[in-house]
Amino acid sequence: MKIRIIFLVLMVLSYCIIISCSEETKSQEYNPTPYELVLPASLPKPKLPEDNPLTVEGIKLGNKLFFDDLLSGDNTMSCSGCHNQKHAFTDNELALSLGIHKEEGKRNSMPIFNMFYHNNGFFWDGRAVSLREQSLMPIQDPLEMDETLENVVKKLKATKEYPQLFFDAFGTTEINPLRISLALEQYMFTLVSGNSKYDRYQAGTDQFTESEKRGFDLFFRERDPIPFVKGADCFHCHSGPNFSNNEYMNNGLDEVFIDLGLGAVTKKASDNGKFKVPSLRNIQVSGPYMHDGRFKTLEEVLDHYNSGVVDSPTLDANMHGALLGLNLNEQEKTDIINFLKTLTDEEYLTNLEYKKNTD
Amino acid sequence: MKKYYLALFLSIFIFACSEDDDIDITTQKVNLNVEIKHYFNDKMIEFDTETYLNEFGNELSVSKLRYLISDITLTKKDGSIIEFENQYVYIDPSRNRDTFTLFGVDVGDYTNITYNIGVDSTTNHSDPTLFDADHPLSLIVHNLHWGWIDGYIFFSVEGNLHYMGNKQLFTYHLGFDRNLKTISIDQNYSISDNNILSLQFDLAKLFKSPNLIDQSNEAFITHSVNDNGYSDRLVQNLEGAFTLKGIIQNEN
Repeated sequence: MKIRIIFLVLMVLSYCIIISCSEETKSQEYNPTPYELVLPASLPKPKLPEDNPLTVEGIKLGNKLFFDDLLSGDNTMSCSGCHNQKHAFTDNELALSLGIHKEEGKRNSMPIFNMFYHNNGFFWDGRAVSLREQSLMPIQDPLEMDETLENVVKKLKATKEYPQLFFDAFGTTEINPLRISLALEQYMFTLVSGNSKYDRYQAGTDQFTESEKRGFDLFFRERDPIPFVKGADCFHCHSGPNFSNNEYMNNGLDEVFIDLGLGAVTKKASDNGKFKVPSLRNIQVSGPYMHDGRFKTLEEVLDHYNSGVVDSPTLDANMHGALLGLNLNEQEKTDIINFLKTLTDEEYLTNLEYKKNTD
Repeated sequence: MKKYYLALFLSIFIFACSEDDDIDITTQKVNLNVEIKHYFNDKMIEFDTETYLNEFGNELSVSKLRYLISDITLTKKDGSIIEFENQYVYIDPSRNRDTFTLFGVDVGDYTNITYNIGVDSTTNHSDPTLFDADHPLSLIVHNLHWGWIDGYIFFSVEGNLHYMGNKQLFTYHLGFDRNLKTISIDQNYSISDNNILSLQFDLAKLFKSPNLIDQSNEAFITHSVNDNGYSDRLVQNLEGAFTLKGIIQNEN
């Protein structure tokens, strides 16, 4: 009898263990929800990296990381510190951003939208090949967030919520730099800008003013010397649906290079003074302009291209016309600026989905 | 009687053989890799860093050389033609984009390869934003486009010409429907598995024949309009600039 009871107790116990075990696995089931990137008709279908499919959980984690001060050396600064949505994720009208030590960085903070179109490297100097690689660099830059990846991993591991968020996103509670970068990459891929007045004009659902129309024409017209045709010739470099050809080019800012740009990365003299051609979407709100933020206003930018271009050994051949002078008058410059302002996308600048996730 | 057996035996043998041949020659399809190497005379082009001497004793350097290929056809020895109708190729050797693959090519002997530099009129004036971002005609991939009315830039070469102690930037953007150029190369070659068809483009020839061109006497910029036929003469020279080097065995 005694044996029977012991046996029964053992049976019940083992059953409980089995139940609890299976419940345990149930709560830890890895089942991420695929996220479909919905783009407006004006944006062509991008090719996203196949090894990092977008999921609701991955994006949520990326969002949390993007806005988390833990990623910096003294826990005071997140990516969003220098990438503010209101300014197309650039740094609040600063020419050069201040890092955690209140020292200025080397270059102007770049906007974040339509990152899936960047097929030729990241940063002003192209030093990162992929977006995921890019995402870890400001964290480690002594002039920016100045933290080691080892410490970031340690800090995230010590939190209550991150191990679970990593499990939800990647099926493992193990936190490492690669998974941090994959989550940040996912979040950044969801930041889409394609509903500006220009896009609506192209779709036939909005109207341009006369000035915007003239600006549009000048933007897309080539300057021809004989017979003389006035054109601002912007579109060779600021081309395609994202208004950038993804190239690194010398646009005639300096005769002697203070910053070598791409050349410092490739170590080729022929790349000196070349910087990434930025997208012009949301340009109205993402000043100041150029890699060092030297121009405060779009008027200054137009003045540069109109009459301020200087020659140097790596000046791009497409700057030939600008080097000779575009001869745009004040009205024409205003028209081009008015056109550029049609590239501002209020929906993107205020989209609640891009903001810090608070749930 | 013995004779009959022999005849029967032989006929089976022959039949078997010819069947084998059928399988090997007419039905085996391979993926053919095509490479285009870009030269200035006998030197492979090094973008931005090297200078080359032209026919008129002027040095020049090349910063960009980009073009679009379409309507590729291969002519077999029996006269039949394989078309790759919807295949478009964007070539940019400065970014190592100088190879492409033709899928499902019959193994066998060929006598010609033909392709267009540029795209046909319908494609030229279609909406480029409709292509996926990785399609060769997408403006995310390249900036060879003037807008919907004028269409694609079919061929673009940019660089610096040094003459009389000056450095002169040049940009030749060749396009418009009238400048769609067919390159037809008559040459025998055989395709088998794991082959690379190797083409060569010689930039020096762009300025040589049939039109001898002294760059320093011409406009330094052409967008293929109002240029006294300069772009048309360059386009005429395109045909001789391409040669077929032959078939090489893929090492990989």
